[in-house]
Amino acid sequence: MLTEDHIMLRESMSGFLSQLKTIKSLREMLSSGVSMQADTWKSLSEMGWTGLLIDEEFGGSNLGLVSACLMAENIGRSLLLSPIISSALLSSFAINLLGTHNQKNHWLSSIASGKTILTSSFGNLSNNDFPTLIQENSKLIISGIAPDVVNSENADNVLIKVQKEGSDEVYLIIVNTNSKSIEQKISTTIDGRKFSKLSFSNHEILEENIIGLSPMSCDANAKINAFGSLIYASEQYGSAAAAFDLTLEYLKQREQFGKIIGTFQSLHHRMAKLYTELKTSEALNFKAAILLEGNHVDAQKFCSMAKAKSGQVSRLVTNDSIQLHGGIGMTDEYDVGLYLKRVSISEKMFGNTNYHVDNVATSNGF
Amino acid sequence: MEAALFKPNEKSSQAFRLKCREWLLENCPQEMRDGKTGSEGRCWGGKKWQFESKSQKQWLNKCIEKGWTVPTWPEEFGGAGMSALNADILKEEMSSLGIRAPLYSYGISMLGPALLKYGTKQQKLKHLPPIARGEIRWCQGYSEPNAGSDLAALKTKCIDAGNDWLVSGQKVWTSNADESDWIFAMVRTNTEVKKHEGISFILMDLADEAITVRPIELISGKSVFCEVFFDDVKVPKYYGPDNPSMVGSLGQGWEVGMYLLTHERGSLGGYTLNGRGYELPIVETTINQVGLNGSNKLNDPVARVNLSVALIDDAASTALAELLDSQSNSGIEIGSQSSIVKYASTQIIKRGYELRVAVSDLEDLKLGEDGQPRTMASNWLYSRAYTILGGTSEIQLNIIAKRLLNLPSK
Repeated sequence: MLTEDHIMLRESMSGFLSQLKTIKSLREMLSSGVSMQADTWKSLSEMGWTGLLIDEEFGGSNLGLVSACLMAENIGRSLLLSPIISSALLSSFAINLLGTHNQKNHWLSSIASGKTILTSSFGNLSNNDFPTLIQENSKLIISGIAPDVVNSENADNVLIKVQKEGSDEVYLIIVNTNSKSIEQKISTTIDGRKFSKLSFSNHEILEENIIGLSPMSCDANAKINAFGSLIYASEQYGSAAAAFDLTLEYLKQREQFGKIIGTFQSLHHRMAKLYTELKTSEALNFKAAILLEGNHVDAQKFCSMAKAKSGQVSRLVTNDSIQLHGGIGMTDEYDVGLYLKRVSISEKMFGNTNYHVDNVATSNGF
Repeated sequence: MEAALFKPNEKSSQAFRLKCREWLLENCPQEMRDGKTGSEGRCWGGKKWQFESKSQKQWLNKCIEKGWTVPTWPEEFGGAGMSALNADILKEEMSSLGIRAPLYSYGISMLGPALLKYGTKQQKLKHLPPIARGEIRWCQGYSEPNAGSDLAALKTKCIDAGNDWLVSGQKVWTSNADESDWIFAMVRTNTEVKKHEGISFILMDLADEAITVRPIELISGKSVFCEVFFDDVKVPKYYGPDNPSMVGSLGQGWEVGMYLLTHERGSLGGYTLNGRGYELPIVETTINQVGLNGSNKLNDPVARVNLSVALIDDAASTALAELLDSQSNSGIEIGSQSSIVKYASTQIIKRGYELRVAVSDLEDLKLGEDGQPRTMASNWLYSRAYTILGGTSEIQLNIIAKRLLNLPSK
């Protein structure tokens, strides 16, 4: 159920983000290369966004998974560049699921207050080639490469998956990127997001950096992936919805042949179809969130469906948004292209559309 | 069960849920718990109705006593005065126990809500209880040969003839008119004013000899649809004191008729990819038809992708219907958003039939011994109608564009 509280939360989030002038910052970043400003992070923490999923016991507000979707949606709408999704949602969810009480107390409290920014590397599901964890006497050593760590340029700490040498066991560990035995190579994607490749050469970690102090179970892994799919489904839905709104406004003021083009029935029907796609995708995100929160037996399937649906819809809507703008939609000066670029990256996170379509077929037994 | 996911106050409703379940288990005959909760095995009622079995009749009577054929209607009109939320719980309990609805009719789903809103006290007392008891079956006389999507262009004349109205003209696509007892219809009472303002809403007894009903055959074979001809039918202005034959005032027919349609459109959700009238869900059918390979994947990779994508769209369309349903139950006005559900869910149900045909055999498309298309083909052919009836997809898109997106017309 989308309660009145959720509707209010959505409005307050969007109001707050509009003050941040996120698109202006994005354009500045694209031209200067300098990413997130410290004051943006400070205000996100002050607004309580960093602790949205974290228990009150650790200084958060624990508003639940529908609220997490609303946050991701608003970030997608605003095109904000920030490690907030990684830190407040993905990493918090994983630590909350797997961490010991001490680990929760340490990391979640610090994430909630905004002091720690914790990003993560496990969004690329097609990569199963994790760095290796080697036990040498009493030492734990990591070697290898963790690709595609999102927004790590802003973070000191990163959550990565490693595989134990000579076994199938996968562990989730926290590493500090300031270490000399980690080399970080940053690249920027077309939407302005930054991803880095971390190369570990005999990097030593402590046992306490292993979340839960034991290997991840398949269940936990699947649940984290399901949650990640859901969050990026919501993020890309938000970007697509914003592109749609922009296009709708454009159609209401653009004149050709002496008429507002928004009066043409062919465009009415086209927009109505896109709107239908958006509304159904949005509803599926909420339903998946409610099922995941309730540990429903079909929760993971629904998260997969939500990601696939929102992947298809957001591609359709952002492409059509450019088409409906005509020539101006192709210009870099106009914002509509930014949404197309943004959703093309969100679509890659936690399994692309094809991956999830295949997954849905498999989970239905065909 | 999944509709309940969006529902508030789940805990406080638990007691009511248990009470429902207890009564249902105690009173519903075993035969009526066969999971036929869709159109199959429906009890429609009316003077011409033949009960399929003793238990069908027994089940109807049990529910009539309890007011559960129309749980949300006030008790004086045959209902149980139940809240929408509780009625939903009752429905969920019935569906989870596989219990059939005791009665289904256009009197319940369409005319009833309109009479409750616009009817006089006597109109309600005379018409609603027979609907609730399944004694009178109603049909809906809206569409005409030249008034389909442009319904307000309807021409069936209704002239003032002293104590009577004189009705002449033709209706078409009147579902089940040949099995109904009465008809509620929109008729033209004024040709001098704007087309929407010259329409009235009238109730007529089909037993009148001046009314002729003729069934229509469709591309799918025999159908429920009929044509209804009115040849100077004399309709008394009053069936009794405070009981006029018109609902609402003269010229208010469009408003009454549209109010009723919003109820129809709401009830038009719930179409899913599985379609109607088939024994097996679409996934099982496709697996049976195409076969699985060694890694449990369909042998037809194109069918595999198409079916998976369709299941995803189906889940999304269903999620929206559930979300709007829960909002509407908690008092949030959903208005024209029901057009999104009508549009999306009818696209989906048609797609389901298409997917079935795509993997069907030539055999499925041969005529049966009765010269009619067989179930597979007949259901598929009929399913073309879903995006036409109850407001075409194009009309729904117009509504979404104008009322929800505020796109200008001029």
